[in-house]
Amino acid sequence: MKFKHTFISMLSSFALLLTCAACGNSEAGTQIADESSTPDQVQLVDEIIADDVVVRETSFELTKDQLYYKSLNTILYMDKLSGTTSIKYTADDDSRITGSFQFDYINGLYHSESTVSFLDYEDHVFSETEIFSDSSEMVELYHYPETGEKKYRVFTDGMCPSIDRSYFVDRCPINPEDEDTIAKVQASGEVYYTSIDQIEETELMQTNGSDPTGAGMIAGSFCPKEMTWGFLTNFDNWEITGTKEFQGRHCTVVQGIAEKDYAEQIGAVAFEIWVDTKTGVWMQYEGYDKEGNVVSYVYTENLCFGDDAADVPLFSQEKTNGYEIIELSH
Amino acid sequence: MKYTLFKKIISFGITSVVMCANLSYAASATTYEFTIDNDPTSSSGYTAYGNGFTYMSSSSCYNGDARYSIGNAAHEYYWKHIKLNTNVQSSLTTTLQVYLNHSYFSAYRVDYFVCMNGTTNYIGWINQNIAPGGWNYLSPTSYSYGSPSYVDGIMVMADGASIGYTGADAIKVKYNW
Repeated sequence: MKFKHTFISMLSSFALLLTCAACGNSEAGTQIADESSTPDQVQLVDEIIADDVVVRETSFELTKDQLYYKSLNTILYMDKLSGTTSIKYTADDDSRITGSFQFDYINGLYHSESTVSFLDYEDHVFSETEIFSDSSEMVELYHYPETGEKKYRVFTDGMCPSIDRSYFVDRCPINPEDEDTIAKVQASGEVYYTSIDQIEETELMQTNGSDPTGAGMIAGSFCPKEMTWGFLTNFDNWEITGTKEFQGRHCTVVQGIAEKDYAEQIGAVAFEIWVDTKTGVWMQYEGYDKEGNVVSYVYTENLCFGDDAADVPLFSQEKTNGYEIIELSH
Repeated sequence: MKYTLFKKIISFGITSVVMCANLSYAASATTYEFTIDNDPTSSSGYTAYGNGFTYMSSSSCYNGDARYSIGNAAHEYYWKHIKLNTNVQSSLTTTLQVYLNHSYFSAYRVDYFVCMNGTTNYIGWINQNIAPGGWNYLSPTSYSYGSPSYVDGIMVMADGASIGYTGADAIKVKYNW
């Protein structure tokens, strides 16, 4: 699962990439940059690293394996969640997504609102979406302000996203240095893991796609599976660099560089993520281009977990007044 | 300190089985796995149904081609193949992987369903805009019917709000029972 390159070699690749860009010559990629030629790049790295990160001398509370696992399987660790988010997934995106959400994973109730707007025109809204789900029926309402169109569609029965938590098994690896926990698990006879490498890929990805909220468009924070897969699968590309408090949550700070293919896809060559230590939720993500500019991001505000989360608004049929139903053909 | 070390390391660094056939499968006592590319040659056993999906060719796609649809149109696309209904049991777990590797594929929430025993069942969703190129997993989904099941097809459908396009390329299906 984990790729076994050295982190330094990947950083060297990043340096070469920067050098190529600076020279505007692909041939330059075969040469090692000399120190005096790269002051801007050093500055870039300083800018990427947040000043308020708390750095610990001792071992971190999350191992890389644990952070990776939790980021892929956040729904195993949440019962209620609410908040707002603002997202620009890729550098090429000419749109921004903003939204708010209230989720009750225990009772299977979900509500979200999201707006897709073009960055070039501040008031140019492409679509407004509101989604209600009670796990047996999901109603999606779409409004396109430009055309005035209002449509909705309904997923019922088996088509409605839902989760059965009893189906999933938390296989989060135990910190191999956590001897107390390992001793307890061994005494109980339970199967346990200390590394991602011990977990089959299908088990590792057991919840991938199972997010039941219907709010996939704004899921970059609470269900960051694609970017986890894209940015963090190669453990040699990133480091846990510290911890910080953010929105009242204990977060683990991750900094790294992107694989070449994924960097091209997202348009970000380096990244920093603040991961909620308990749940794996990405409280904040920023992706940077070669000059250190933020070109993609997932920002959150007022994220509330558990009993602190806002109540979930329920659907009423009146919501569909003025909307035309989209008939599904199957 | 690791923080300092990280900066030093970065500073140092800065200064310094693809399957060719349309379909193949491997079977065991409890597992049946096969790949379906949406390339309806006469011998492939594949039939396509795509409401609003357009054919495209690109070297980055599986076997050089795929289908796409405008992202916010809520169009549906089906993969249908005779192999989908082979070795299906009355109780089984289905695991789906989808191949995504083209910049056109950029819809934010793309839903996948399995159509079986006359009903359509939700599998999961993928954000095609940021899904890494290659095979992308969807979580295993279990089904149990009183009588032997049949699988009619796998369906993909985008949300109604995305900018960009929804992609449909090869899929890999695994049954466990």
